Amino acid sequence: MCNLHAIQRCLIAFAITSILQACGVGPPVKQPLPEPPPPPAQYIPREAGPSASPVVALLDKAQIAEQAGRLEDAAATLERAVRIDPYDPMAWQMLARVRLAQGDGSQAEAMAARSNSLMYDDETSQRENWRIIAQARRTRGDEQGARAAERQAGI
Amino acid sequence: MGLNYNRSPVNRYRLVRMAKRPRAKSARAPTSRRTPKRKPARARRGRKFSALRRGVFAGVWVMALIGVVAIMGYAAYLDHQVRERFEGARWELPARVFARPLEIYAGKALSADALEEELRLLHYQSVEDLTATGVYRAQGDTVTLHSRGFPFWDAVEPARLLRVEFRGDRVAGVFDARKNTILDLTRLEPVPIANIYPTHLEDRLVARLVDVPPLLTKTLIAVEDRDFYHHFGLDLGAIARAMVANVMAGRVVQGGSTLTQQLVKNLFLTSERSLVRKLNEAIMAGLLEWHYSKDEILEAYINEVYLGQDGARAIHGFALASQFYFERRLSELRSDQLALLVALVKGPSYYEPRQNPQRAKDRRDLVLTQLREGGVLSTAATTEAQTRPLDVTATAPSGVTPFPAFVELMRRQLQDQYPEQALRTEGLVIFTTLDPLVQIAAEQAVTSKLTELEAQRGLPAGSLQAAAVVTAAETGELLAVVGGRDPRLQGYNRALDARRPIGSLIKPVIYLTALARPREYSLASMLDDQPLSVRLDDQQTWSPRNYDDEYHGEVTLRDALVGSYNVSTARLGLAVGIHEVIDTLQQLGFTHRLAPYPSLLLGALEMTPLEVSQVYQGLAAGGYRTPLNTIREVMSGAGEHLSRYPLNIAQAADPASVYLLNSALYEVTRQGTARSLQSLLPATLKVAGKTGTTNELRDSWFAGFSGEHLAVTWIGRDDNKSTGMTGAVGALPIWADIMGNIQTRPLNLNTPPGTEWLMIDARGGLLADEYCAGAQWMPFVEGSAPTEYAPCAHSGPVERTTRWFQDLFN
Repeated sequence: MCNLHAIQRCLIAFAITSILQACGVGPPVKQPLPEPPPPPAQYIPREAGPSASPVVALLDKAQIAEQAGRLEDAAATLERAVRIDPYDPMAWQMLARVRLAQGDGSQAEAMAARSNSLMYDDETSQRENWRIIAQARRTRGDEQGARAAERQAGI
Repeated sequence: MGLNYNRSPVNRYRLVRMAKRPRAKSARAPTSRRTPKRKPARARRGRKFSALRRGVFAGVWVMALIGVVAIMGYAAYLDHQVRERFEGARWELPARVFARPLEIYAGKALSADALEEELRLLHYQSVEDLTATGVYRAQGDTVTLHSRGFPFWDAVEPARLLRVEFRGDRVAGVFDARKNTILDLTRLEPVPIANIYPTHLEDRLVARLVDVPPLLTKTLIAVEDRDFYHHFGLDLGAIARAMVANVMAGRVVQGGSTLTQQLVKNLFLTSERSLVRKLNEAIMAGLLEWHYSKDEILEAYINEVYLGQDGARAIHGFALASQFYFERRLSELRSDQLALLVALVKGPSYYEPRQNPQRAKDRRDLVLTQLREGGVLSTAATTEAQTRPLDVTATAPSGVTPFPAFVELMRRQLQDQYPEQALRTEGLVIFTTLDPLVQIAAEQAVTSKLTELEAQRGLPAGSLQAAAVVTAAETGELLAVVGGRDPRLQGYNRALDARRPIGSLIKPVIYLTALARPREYSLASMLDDQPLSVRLDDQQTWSPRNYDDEYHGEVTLRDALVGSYNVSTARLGLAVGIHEVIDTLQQLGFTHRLAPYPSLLLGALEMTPLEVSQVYQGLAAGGYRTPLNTIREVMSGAGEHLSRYPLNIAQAADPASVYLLNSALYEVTRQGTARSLQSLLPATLKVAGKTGTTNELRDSWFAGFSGEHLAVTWIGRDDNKSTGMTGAVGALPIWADIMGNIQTRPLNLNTPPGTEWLMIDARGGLLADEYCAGAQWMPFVEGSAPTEYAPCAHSGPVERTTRWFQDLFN
């Protein structure tokens, strides 16, 4: 019983926040407990986000258009995907790639950066964004910036 | 008629033309050959006449020749006219403006009610039989509909039988109901929101013959021109019959005009009644028949014919008449409805079905009888059709846009690329970003809340004015624009043109300027909120005051924003520099030049609600600015791509600093000046925002966003007198009403890379632990957080952990 209690407390030590109240146990409290903190810690599942499927369907469609060289159609389709889920980093990344292919380096760079700001744990994709940024900067003649981006991309 | 309408008209034209042209030539040839044969005969006879007679005869002959040349010349002139008009841009066509198409996919926040509202806007009918397009059936959590399809920019959306299943306020699945397959996503046809008419106000929808129901052409021919496929432009039999009928009646009761003649009359001639005109009509009808196929003539007739009047707007063509009388597509009409449209050809105003229903019905039934007599309809079908009511909509759909404020903004954005003349005449198809569901919610919020506020506060009804702008937070697409309390009224558009001081709406810009320097400022930085006096360059003293004249001593940067304290904010603004604040504002997309007066820090600068939206859009989109946009694409009437307005973004601020700011703006709606939102919105809908109030309560503002929508609302008076309301009392309830009535998603507070959340003791801005009362969680750019613990914390991290473990294990 006591042992169980100890394990329970041990767990609490690593999850200091809201669990305190849920368990009703904790270190001796001399002062009132802090207010329940606002939840935004790490990785809150999107409560209302749509499932990935319509976006994935559009990304597939855009890829076909991109490979066929129909870049404007690909861009239009990807914008449709962004409208449906603006927090999908892959849609932004593909859009950045298409814009780069269309010769719009500044949009490519901004969109790849936008993609990175939405990317939480996918290092491969993050590196791909940096690669796009590097290419965009090089096209602009910003060799130093390109190299800095390449370092981020791990090249 | 035995005609196959399913074949492409292009092929038909070619066949008919090839068959026709040689025949026309051979018909002329004998005339030219006959002349030389006659000459010798005349010459022989001529010898018997005297020289004088010969001279007279020669004179007559010359004159006749001149006459023939003149007539031929005239015919050539008419021929030129006919061909030029018929082959060129036949009509000036209005530009058609559409709302965004509703996208439907599994997981979309869309209730069955919202879908039904969209279907009503598209004039879908709720029926059992789903054979025709433009109909739907709602049963519990399922809506089955037969969509009409639409040629979009990127692809043609086919007409489909769709089944949409709902779970709560969300789409559970979309299915092709015929094939019973799951669809990834689909979109409905877009709601038409405006037309930009030619100056002569002729409105017309052009239909291709292949898209016209065969029954319509059969009815038209049976009633107006039975021999259409056999005559050469004139129907002598019909003329004779008409003459007999007219003589018998003693007045004009029947016309013998063919469809070709009627088309010629409408297309080329004035309505003057004279023999010369009649002659011109006959010649031109012949020319039209000679140059063009029957189907080309029929198609032109179907689109040219005048079928109604809506104020100054003339309704032309069967396709538009179908919308005008039934709010349905031509292909969706029943035989009785088609018969009514054909009945109207004889006299659109005399038989106007909304004003003269009995007259119209009698004429329609007569048309149906003629169809039975012509063998087009069976007796049973005729009787059934004749028992139907007229079924026209109670009121004519207005040709005036219901959303004038949005359309005005759209036209301002279009005018750089498309001159007025092009919009009025070229039949452009304009795809806009307007979301009619959001627009209607915004209009209702403005109208109902203003009335409510006036009643609550004993203000004269109608004294307040308001504006609202709703945009898609990430893409900057304008979804709704309300320019005043009567949203149907075209006039002073306050959303675009009311430039007012913004008050505390400026504050987030000051705080962002500070937070963008993580080495100097964090949300936990302490600010001084005691009275302040600043000596300005012009020797005047500036003494900003807090709203309630309460001063708070030392406060965290976050609390100063959450409580909207003026004095500490002014100090912060002066510390970071007014020029730097202006710079941030311009980064966020405010383009006007500003003089760097300290009063600017408390919002003594003027903006329109649209400009405020632009500035806040950059915040709502995590630091990425995009120009607010009303247009997605423009196509020609024939479906050619003309222009696309691509999404363009630019990093306006560091995403991590914007994240810190937004977390504080979220606190504003939980504990700050906008905390009343807690009771106005569902608990799951997290939002961030800021109230704004100006001197003497002249302007009441609220600007804020969810994870999907940004909305800016403003209340004020046109005479600029006091409204008696702060932002929280006036503009906020409108804002909440909009957000609560649209389907949106909560604020995205996912921690971006490079930031961390820590617990802070607000009394000194130092690290706190669970021993500290009232400690707050705050995000920090990594490395910018305070390292020192507050006195309330038990001690430093090492001892703390040790003591913890001691506590835990004893």
